[in-house]
Amino acid sequence: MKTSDKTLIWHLDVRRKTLQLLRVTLNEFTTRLDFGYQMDTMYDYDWWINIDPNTHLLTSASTKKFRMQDQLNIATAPNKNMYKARTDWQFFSLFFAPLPQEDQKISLIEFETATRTGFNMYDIELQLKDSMEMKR
Amino acid sequence: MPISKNAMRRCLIIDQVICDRHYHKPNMQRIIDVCREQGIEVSSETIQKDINMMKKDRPNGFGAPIKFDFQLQEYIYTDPKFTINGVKLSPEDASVLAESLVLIKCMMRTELGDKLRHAMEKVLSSSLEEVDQNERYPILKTMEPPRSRGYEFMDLLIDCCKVGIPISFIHYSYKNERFKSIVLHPYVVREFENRWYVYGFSETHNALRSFGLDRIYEPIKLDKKYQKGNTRQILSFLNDMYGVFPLEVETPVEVILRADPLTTKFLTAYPIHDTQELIKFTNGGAHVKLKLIPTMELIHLVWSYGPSLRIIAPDWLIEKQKSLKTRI
Repeated sequence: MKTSDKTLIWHLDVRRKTLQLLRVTLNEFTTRLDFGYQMDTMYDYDWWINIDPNTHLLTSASTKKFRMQDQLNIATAPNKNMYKARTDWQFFSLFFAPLPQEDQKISLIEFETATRTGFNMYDIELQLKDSMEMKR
Repeated sequence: MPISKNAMRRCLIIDQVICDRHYHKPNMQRIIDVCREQGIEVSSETIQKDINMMKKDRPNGFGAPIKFDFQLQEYIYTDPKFTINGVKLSPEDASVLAESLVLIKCMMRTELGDKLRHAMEKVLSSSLEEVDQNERYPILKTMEPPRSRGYEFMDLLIDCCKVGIPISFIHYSYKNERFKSIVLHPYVVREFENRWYVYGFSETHNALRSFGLDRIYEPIKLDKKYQKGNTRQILSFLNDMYGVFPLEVETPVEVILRADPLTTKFLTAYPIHDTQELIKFTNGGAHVKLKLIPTMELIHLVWSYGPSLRIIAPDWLIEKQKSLKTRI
């Protein structure tokens, strides 16, 4: 697997309903995905979000599953982040095992079988030429 | 053990008397006289004890190289450059700096602010002074808003502006309810009405933009070529606007407001902008002429006065204001 001591950053705008994948940060220790979530009128009751602890990444560059290692600003199921208003929003991050540093397509899988409300996202393109490097 | 407040005052006087040797003979009588002038009744024994304490090494004293010259019958510093003030400050200088500390504490509650405050306190030597918090209250008081979201990025942003480092961050727009990944070449961190903004060239927008620190998430320094700013444009951002979010135009235009008599009094005392001119009517009201880049904040200011202040010109700004009125 290709890794380097660089930290690469991709700016993205991949949307699934009101969930936005905004940035991927990748280095030899971790893969970080930054998300924005905007509440929506479609959930007119049970306003909450969480992330399943079995969430993982799949990549075209490997047959491995890259499991979620940590999360920031989001509860793991069965806990929940509750909201009070349609206008509430949340920035959160998920951390996974480090992906290879090469051109690839990744998929975020919260549930193997896609559900109406799950945070699955497919075929997100990460090209090395589109990445930026973090300053050490 | 910290030095008491009274002892600190006496030590500063002893220091002042020894340093001012060219004007008065720095002997015991002179020290006692200066103490009296400053409302401190003191005996020669107390002064002697203070001098002995000043000779002790820090933190119990000042490590002052004081010697009594028997031939001249005066106190001297064996190192003529020594002073416990670190730098020779007049009482007025020290007082001005002490007042400035209050402002720094209020406005710069960051690591940089702490460093600056610490440096100034060292200059004043007040770090050795025993402070009784119950007895102290500020004689200079500014508004101290609670620490807002995004303040924690202040040091990083100032560093990036100073050194010239582009940054990546996530921005949330309150108005559009959308997130956006931004690459910014930051130039200035600016405060306006207790809110902090970073201004620079946004690659994402291909334009100069301001971003409220409260709406920024996870800034990361980038290893990328920094695009330097145009000084004229940066100064225009700092000086030609009331606020930080310009509307439509990028150069100053003439804006005319109409104020009622009471509002005119307030605007006379607190001008909106350096360019403000008041053309008064006989009833006390006025046309308020401004030459600036119209901003969202200018419109908010006009709204804050209700019917007492309204926009007269230009027409496009009147229309803009109407279109911005939102239902609550």
